[in-house]
Amino acid sequence: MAGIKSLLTLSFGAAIGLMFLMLACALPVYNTYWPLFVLFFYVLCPIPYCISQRVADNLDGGSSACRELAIFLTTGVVVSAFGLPVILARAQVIAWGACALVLTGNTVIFATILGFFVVFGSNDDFGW
Amino acid sequence: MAGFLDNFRWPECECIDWSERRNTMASMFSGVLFFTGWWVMIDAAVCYPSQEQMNHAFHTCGVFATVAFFMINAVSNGQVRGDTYGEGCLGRTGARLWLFIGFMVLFGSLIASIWILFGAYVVPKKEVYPGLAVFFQNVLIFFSTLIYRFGRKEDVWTPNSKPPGRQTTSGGGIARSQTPTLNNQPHSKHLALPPFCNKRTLKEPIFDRDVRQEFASTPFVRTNCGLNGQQRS
Repeated sequence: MAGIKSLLTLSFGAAIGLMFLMLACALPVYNTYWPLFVLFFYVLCPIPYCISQRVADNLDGGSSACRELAIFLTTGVVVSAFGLPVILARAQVIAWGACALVLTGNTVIFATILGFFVVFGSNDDFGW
Repeated sequence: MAGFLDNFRWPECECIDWSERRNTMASMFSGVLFFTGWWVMIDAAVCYPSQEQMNHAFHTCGVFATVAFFMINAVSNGQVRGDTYGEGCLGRTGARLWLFIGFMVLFGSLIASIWILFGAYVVPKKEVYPGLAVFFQNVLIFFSTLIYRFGRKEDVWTPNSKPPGRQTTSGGGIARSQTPTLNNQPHSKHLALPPFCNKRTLKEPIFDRDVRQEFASTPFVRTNCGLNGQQRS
């Protein structure tokens, strides 16, 4: 089943992304746990799109105002997840190396979430 | 030599339907701009925390610009034209007034940010970064609003209109845009899942019975398509 391979790849991607995030926090040279706040954005990222898929019946198989608003908000969450480490580094709360690790982790995680939606999300009723 | 690019065509990318993707791209680009503007301001507030370096009142520009964003994008083009059924809250004039006030607030916040930059930072020769941050926040929100408002396509919806590019027999149009290829080549290789071929079938209340009968004779009926759009038959 094509699903298993995709599932494995996606979970590997998520693990690598979280590994980068934990490296940014836990390496002895950095040793601050402020970057963990981006986890909040990771959790928040799929929510608007899922809500719009449930609430607005996309009868015409394409865009609706609700879906576009959801895409807008999702993009905002992604930008925020990239902005927060940069601001923490500029305020010298974390080191720039930690910031770079967090940004790398962000990229991997968001690519994973996008991959999840592309592979598993399209047009089926979301189960639960 | 002249015109040697006349026969050049971009390679056809079949996996993307640009008419459908335009709305998505506009929303995404607008989202990037909007939130980048806010994060620029947050950065300035973090790096210059004191009242002398950046007067906290300058945040109001961005707040008003955000309010204007939501005001402008709350009314659709159809409401301004007076197309929609029912009165709504205030009807067409109310929609126009709302839009007018929204644009006024948007332009006002942009002008105020320029004034702040020059009046409070450039002329007194203070450290200019907070002024630039206020300016960029408002400029980015301004362009984000324009792109979100005017970059998305919204088909004209009237009860008896045919949306552009469709060759339907009759009956109600659908409010959002449809892909032209779908309607012209029903069984072709097209790109997105055809709307009638997923589990959500056409809901009765939108089409009346006559149209349903007519559609039954077209290739769009659910029985002709598998879940993935392949032809069953």
